[in-house]
Order: sequence, then C-alpha cells, then structure tokens
Amino acid sequence: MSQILTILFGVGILYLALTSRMRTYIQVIALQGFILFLLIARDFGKLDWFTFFFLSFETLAFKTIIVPAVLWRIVERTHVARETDPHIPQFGSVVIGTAVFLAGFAVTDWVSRIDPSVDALPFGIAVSTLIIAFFIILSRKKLITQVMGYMLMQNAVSLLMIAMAVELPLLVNLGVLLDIFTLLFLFLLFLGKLHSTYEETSREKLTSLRDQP
Amino acid sequence: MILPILLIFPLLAAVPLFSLRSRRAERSVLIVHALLTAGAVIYWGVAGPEEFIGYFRADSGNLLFLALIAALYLAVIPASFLYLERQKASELWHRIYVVAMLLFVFSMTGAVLAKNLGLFWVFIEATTLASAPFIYFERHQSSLEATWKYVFICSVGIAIAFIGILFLALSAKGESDLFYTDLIANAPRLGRFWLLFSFPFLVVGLGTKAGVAPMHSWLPDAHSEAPSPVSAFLSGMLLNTAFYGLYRIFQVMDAAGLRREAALFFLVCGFASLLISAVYISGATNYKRLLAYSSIENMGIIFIGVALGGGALFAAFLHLVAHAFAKSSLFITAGNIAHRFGTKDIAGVRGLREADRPTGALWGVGFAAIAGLPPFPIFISEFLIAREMVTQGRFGLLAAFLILVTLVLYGMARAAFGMYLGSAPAGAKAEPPRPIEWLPQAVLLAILCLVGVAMPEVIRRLVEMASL
Repeated sequence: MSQILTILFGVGILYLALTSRMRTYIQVIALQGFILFLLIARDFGKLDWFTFFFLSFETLAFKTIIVPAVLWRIVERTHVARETDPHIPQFGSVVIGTAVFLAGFAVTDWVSRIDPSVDALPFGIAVSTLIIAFFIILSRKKLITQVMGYMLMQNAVSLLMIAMAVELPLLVNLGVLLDIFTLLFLFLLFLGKLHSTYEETSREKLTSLRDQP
Repeated sequence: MILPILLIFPLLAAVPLFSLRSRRAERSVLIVHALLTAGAVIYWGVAGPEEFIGYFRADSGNLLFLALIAALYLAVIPASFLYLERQKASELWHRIYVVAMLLFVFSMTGAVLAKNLGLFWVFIEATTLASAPFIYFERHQSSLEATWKYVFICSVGIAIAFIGILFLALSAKGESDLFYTDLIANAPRLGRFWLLFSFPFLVVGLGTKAGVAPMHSWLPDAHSEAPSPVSAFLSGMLLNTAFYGLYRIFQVMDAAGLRREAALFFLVCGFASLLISAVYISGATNYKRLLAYSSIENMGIIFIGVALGGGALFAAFLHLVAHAFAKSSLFITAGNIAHRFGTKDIAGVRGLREADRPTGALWGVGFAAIAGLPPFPIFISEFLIAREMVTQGRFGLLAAFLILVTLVLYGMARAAFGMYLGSAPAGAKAEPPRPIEWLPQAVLLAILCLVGVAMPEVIRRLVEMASL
C-alpha cells in the first residue's frame, strides 16, 4: 500500500512537468500532503502519540488543506490561471522531468547499495521531486509558480524524512511548521503587494535591483 | 541565571509594546535589551560558562559572537533612533521597527547560544522572518522587490540546509542527537558517506545566509534597501551568525577525518565569492550595494582562512571581527550620506570631505579599514592568510587571492575616492552633524585601530577561543 502511495506521489510531480495550469499545481500539492498523511498514519503505534498527532496535524491540516487553500486564494486574487511563457517550453519540461526522475532512481540505486537501511522507493521519488521542484523554481517566470515549487520542495523534504526514518527533535519539526506558516503569510502579503505594484507578478518584472559586471 | 533572562526578555518586552503605544517606551526597551546583552557578555567573560535547559550555552566558543552582537547592537541603536526620526516613521512603523529589532537580535542570540544544530537551524529561520520587515521598511517598489528576493532565496537556502541536517542526522543515527559536542565527540563513529553527503547541502544552505556564493544574490538587494542601521547589523552580524553554525559543522567534519573534503568546499565557496565581488563591484552604481559586494568578498576571505587552517584560522576569526566593525561603521555612515545628499547613487555624491567633514572622515577611515590598510586588523588577517598560502606552497591560490582582492579594492577605491573628493553640490552643505551621527562609527573604528596597533589580550583570547 505504501509503495502505491509513494508512486502516486511521484506521478503527481511528473504530471506537473506536463501542465501549466495553476490549479493543477495546487491539486498536486494537496494530493502530496494527503499522501504524506497516509504514510504517517501507516506508522501509527510506532510513534509516540504526541509526535503522531503533531505530524498528522502538519500533513493533514497544513499541507493538505491550509497551504493549498492559501495558494488558491492567491491565484484567485492575482488572476493568474496558468504559466503562459516559461523559460523552457512544455515539451522540454517533460523531457527534463522524465530524465530527472530516472536520474533520481539512479542516485537511489547507488545510495541504497552503500546504505541498505534507506527505503529506496520513497528516497528516489523524494530526490526526484526535489530536483524537479528546483527546476520549476528556476524555469518558471510567475512568482506564484515559484512559490509552488518551494512548497513541492517542502513536500519532498517530508518524504525524505519518512524514507530515511530520521527522528529529529520535535523542536525541529515545530521549526518546519513555523517555516511553512510564516512563509505562507509573507508570500500572501508580498504577492498581494507585488501584484498591486507590478500588475503582472512575473520574475522578469523584478529587475530594478541589478548590477552590470 | 542571566542566560534565560537574555532569551526571554525580548519576547516578553515585545508584547506590551503593542498596548503601550509609546515611542519612548519602545526606545527604552531597545536600550535596556542592548545593555542587558552587553552586561551578559561581560558577566560570562568574568564568571565563566552558563547553560540553560540543556539546549543553550554561553561559553568561550561563542563568546566572541555574543560580544559582536552586543557591541554592534549598542552602535546600531543610536543610528536607528536617528533613522526613525529622519524617516518621520508613523507610530505603527516605529513599533514594527522596534519589535522586529528585538526579535532579530533574539534570533541571532538564540542561534549563537544554541548547542544543537537543529535548534540553530530554527533560529536562523527566525532571523529571516524577523528581518524581512526591515527590508520592506521604506515601502518603495525596490524595497518590495528586495524583500521578495530575500525571503524567497533565504527560504530555499534554509530548506536546503534542512536536507543537509537530515543527512547529518542519518550519519549520526543512534550516536548523537545533533548536539555539537556529541557530534564532535562521536565524529569518528559517524557514517562517513552521509556526513560527506550532508556537507554540500549545509554549506550551500547556511552559506545562503552567510552571504557566500553561489546563493549570495539576495545580499546586495537586501543590504541596499534595508535601513542603514539594519544593513550594518545584517552585514556585521547576520552573516557571521550563519558562519558560526557552518564553522561548528566544519569542526565535525574535521573530527571525522574529512577535513580535506570540507576545506575544499569552503575554498570553492570562498573563491567563488571573491570572484563574484571582483566582477560586480566595479559595476555597482549604488554605494550601499558596493558595500554589500564587499561583504560577499570578506565572507569569502573568512571561508578561505578557515579552509587553509593553521595560522589562517586565527586570521579568519580576526577578519570576521574586523569586517563586522568596519562594515557596520560604513553602513551607518552610508545612511548619513544618503540623508545629506538625498541619493544612494555613487554618481550623485561628490565632495564628501567638504560637505560634511566628520562624515567624510568616517567614510575615508572606514574605507581604509575595510580595504586592509595598516594599521587596521584586516591588513593583519589578509597578510596571515597569504602567509599561510606561502607556507603550504599553494602559490596558485595565492596569486588568485591577491588578484581578486586587488580587483575588489580597485572597485571600492574608485567609488570611495570619487565620493570623497571633488566639489559638493550646494544642497549638500548644511548644518554640521550632531555627535549621535558620527560617535558610534568613530568608536567602532577607534576600537579597530586599537586592535590593529596593539591587540588587547582580551580580544586576542576571544578570537583564539572562538577558533578552537
């Protein structure tokens, strides 16, 4: 079951390479949040109740509901329906996305030979998701798409934690939650401001602070 | 007992400020906090280490960084009051400034005091959030752009650092719980593969906040748009706070027998930072951006010093102190120049020595300090780093180092002399500055001069202990 969920997590990120619609991005982010919740629910009994409650809250309330709802609101406020003019055309994105996915698994194969304790499937998908999230941040022009790339990156980090069964102090988990919460707040604030200041919230508009070599 | 007070005070003090609505109360809280920080440093210096709930510790390893926070805080406060007065800040924005300052200092202090890498990461994250309102403070289109870039790039950097912490935790599985002391003590038993795997993520991630290449691009924007006293703090202390955590991780790598690999990453980041500054500094048209590129260069030099080790390690920490003092002084002075000339453009400022003698003198002496002219300590630190390269027979590195540092110096000098000499525009010649406008910078530069001429034993010990 967890393997199917993990594959579904990966299919979601691959699908993002195909699409330019903002709502699809948000749906994938919400789906990934829910998958993360199910993967944590699988460990019910292995974790102490407080950690279980905290992680469930983080994934279900935050990653599945609050983050997508806030992103949805930003999209509606800024009237940005799709990424119209990415730096890399759609076909190129698909090819790169697929190549990254395969490369992620190659890395995983190498890593799991060195450390057999690593769960290869979620590790591979987490690594691929991380790289694709970076790719989205770098290749898309709309600021809202970059924010979504960042959220995908956060989901990948959560999957990585599950894959490696790393138990970090709760304090650090709280830090992650604080990070997501406050960044959303800032993003909402500044994207709204940026939109009203620049009319179109594209990275190419943010070039007043630049030096020539 | 002073450690919990220092940590809790800014949090408790920030809350009533929202209901008091008194500028005097807000300013008093800042002054009390700065004095408390300075008092705590003196207390720890005399009474020895102190620990709090097992997660925070003040000792000889972090006392230098705490002393820097205290010293710069004391210098930044008068400049901040002056800035708020000049800006005619509304009651709300005055409060935002004060509360953000309390939280910013709290997060930097917490990061330096944290014994645990995870906790350090949380505090570093908090520095981004606490300082973002400063960069947006003047509410121009460019401030908005700078704030966006700052928050976004730093967030990505912090996320990368978190991945590094995950890998580090994997290497330490069952051996330690991300406490620096445990990590160093158990270093030989840490998983070498994961430790090595974690290091680039940590260097790039925390290096983002330390202002070194390749994730430095937020720095010139944020430093140029933030209020000048805050730029002083960002450059003088925030970069050093991030470096502090990176140095602790470097020590773990060293103890695990991976010094060569760690040094290689530091060298690459250091030289990339020097290269970026050398390429862009001549093209900078804004003098605050010019100072920001110089910060990238100086952080690069510190990384190079740590990578080389030996005598260059002491030099790196001396450089850190000297850069913090000199750059803070220059940024505060840059705020005075912007006020007098009404522009941050290098081309718009001429005849500084004629228009405002004290400010002109501070600009000139500050430039001498940051350029590494004798008797300032940057001369000593750069000399020691170069000497270590000769000792290690790394002449290629030495040549690259000297060429890049000279190019940065040329770019700085061209702008600094252009601003200093010539005839001042008529509007710039106004009333002479008040002591509050020049005294904090003069004190910082005087201390630097003293350190360069005859380093007080207490400062030598602080620097030595920090590098151990």
